[in-house]
Amino acid sequence: MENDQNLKNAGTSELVRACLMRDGLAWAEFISRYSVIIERAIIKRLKAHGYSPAVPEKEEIKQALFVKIWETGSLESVKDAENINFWVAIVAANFATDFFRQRKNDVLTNSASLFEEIVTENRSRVFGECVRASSPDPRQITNAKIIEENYNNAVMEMDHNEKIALDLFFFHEMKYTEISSVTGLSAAAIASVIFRARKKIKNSLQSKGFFLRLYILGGILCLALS
Amino acid sequence: MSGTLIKTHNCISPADLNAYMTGSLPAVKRKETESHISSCPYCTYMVAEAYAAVRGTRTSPRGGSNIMKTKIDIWLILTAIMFILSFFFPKYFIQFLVGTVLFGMKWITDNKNTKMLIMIYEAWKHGGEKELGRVMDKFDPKNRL
Repeated sequence: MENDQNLKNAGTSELVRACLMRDGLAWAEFISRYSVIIERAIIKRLKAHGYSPAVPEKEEIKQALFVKIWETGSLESVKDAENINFWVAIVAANFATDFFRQRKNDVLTNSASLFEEIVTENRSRVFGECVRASSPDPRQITNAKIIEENYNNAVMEMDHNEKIALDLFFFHEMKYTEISSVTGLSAAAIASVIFRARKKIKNSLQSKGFFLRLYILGGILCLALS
Repeated sequence: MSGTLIKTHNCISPADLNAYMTGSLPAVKRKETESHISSCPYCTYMVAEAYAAVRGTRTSPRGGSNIMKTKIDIWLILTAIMFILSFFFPKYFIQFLVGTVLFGMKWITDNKNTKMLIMIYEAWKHGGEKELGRVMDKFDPKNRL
């Protein structure tokens, strides 16, 4: 009982070490502590594949993931970390992809991830299409394609951290505060970077759009006058 | 952005991504990690997805909607109406034609619907009529999922 209470109050690295030593109570605490994150990660990844899992399936994936972590000892890679939330989320999401692939399509037999499979079908496909093969709004797919084509110019002069901030903002729709907590940049710095990039992209699109409209109007007038 | 989500052997491991996101990477390693993530859509996606899963926020990795939204282009519709009416009322052909020009000018100087035109143009440029047909099909409300 006392040991149980100690584990509840234990820090992450302490808990992880106990888990690596195959302590049953530690595993129970690990499962209880990270179940919510794992479930969210699984759902998000499966939704990204255009698949909504039923409740038993979610549980099945979750259980299988815990078994895999137990069997492979993959916690070893984060035994010194004080916070493994993101590691758990990434591992769970990747596991969900593998699980989904096995369940959904036995034809895919190699070990490449589902993302790679989707991309391999057509190399020219854009980021948005690869992530969400069955996106509900096709306009957003082509939107991503357009933005990407004008994107490289906008980010050319920015440093790595600023590029990450822009990616997270434009392609993942994260908020300033969220980006700030990931990149370590201040919200003001992020706002400034986004403002500069947005201005460049917008100018580029506007100049293209203006001439296109001019051509179309010219075409209409020629048709009317002919 | 390279444009495709492909995991490479250089991609950051989940443990290092976790350390990056929690700010616990040593400075040199952090720079290396940032350098990779900034040019790797796969790792960026992992970062965004993990963040959303941990914080319980939504993730919308389709991109672009922060820049501009498509709206109904009223000026183009008015231009088309004027143009069509000019044929139905030959007596007022010139007046309708002037209306077409005015609304058309308004349309070409209006920024709201640039995106759709660019999409059509890019589709045509890259894929010819076949690709254009695909994009136009997607614009058809009946085909929306």
